Amino acid sequence: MNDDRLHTFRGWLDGGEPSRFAPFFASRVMQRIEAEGSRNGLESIDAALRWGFLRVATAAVVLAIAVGAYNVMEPGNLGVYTSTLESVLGLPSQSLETLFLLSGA
Amino acid sequence: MQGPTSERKRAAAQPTDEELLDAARRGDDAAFRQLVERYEGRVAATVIGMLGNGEEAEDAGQETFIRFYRSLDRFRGESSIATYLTRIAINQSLDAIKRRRRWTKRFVSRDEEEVVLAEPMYDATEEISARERAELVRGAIQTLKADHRSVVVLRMIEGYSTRETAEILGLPVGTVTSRLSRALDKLESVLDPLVREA
Repeated sequence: MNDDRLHTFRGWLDGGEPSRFAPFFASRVMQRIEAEGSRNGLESIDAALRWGFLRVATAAVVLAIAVGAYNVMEPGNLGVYTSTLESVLGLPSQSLETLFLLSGA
Repeated sequence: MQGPTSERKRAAAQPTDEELLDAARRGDDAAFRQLVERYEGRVAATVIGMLGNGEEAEDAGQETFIRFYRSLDRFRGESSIATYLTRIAINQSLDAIKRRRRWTKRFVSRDEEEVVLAEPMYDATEEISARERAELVRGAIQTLKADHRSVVVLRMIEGYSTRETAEILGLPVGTVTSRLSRALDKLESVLDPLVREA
């Protein structure tokens, strides 16, 4: 039953133009593939830069903590600094007088 | 003038699908382009059958080949390229129909939608050509529900068997048969004067 009806409708469809895309369909597909390829290229550069930055940033943070810890723990620095921040940064506070002397004024 | 021998030679010179696939996998875009040219008619029949002729069908067709390109390494040839592409094309078309339905729900009132569907498809008193009749059948297919339409496109337009259709759609054979039966009932009612003439 289905087959007969299917056969009839298929016969009617065959009387029309075959379905096709507008001309140069393959070119449009290849253009999209190329565009996608270059976008993927940019995305991979972006990802590589982000990954590189993350590694450098992590190393920098570790180094800063190590230097800060060294400054705090160094026996020669004991009593030189007046605050913890100064001791971490390794920057002893300077008086105005000392600064004048340093600048030679 | 070229005889059958020269045609045979030309056919023999054409690379096979497997040769083109291998070349495309190695990054030869010209080989992939040849595959697109070889199968664009097949994909066009599926997506235009599902969505009608327009931008949506063109987009679904392009997306079908782009997805095929991305999956070249995964395609192991368990099914033919034509069947593989048809499966992607049907899925792309069903997605497009879903998007269209969402858009229609959001922006078109139910009244407007019903007016469009209720519009008579043709004047039964006029004699029509074979081409017009084919267009009417295509138009009638567009009135079917998406899941019925996919069965009709695969069975009627693509010429797959019920079993192959069931495999492509991932459905039991019985479901395909019942959907086809209901879809043909609907087509008969939409094309009633045409069916009675026949």
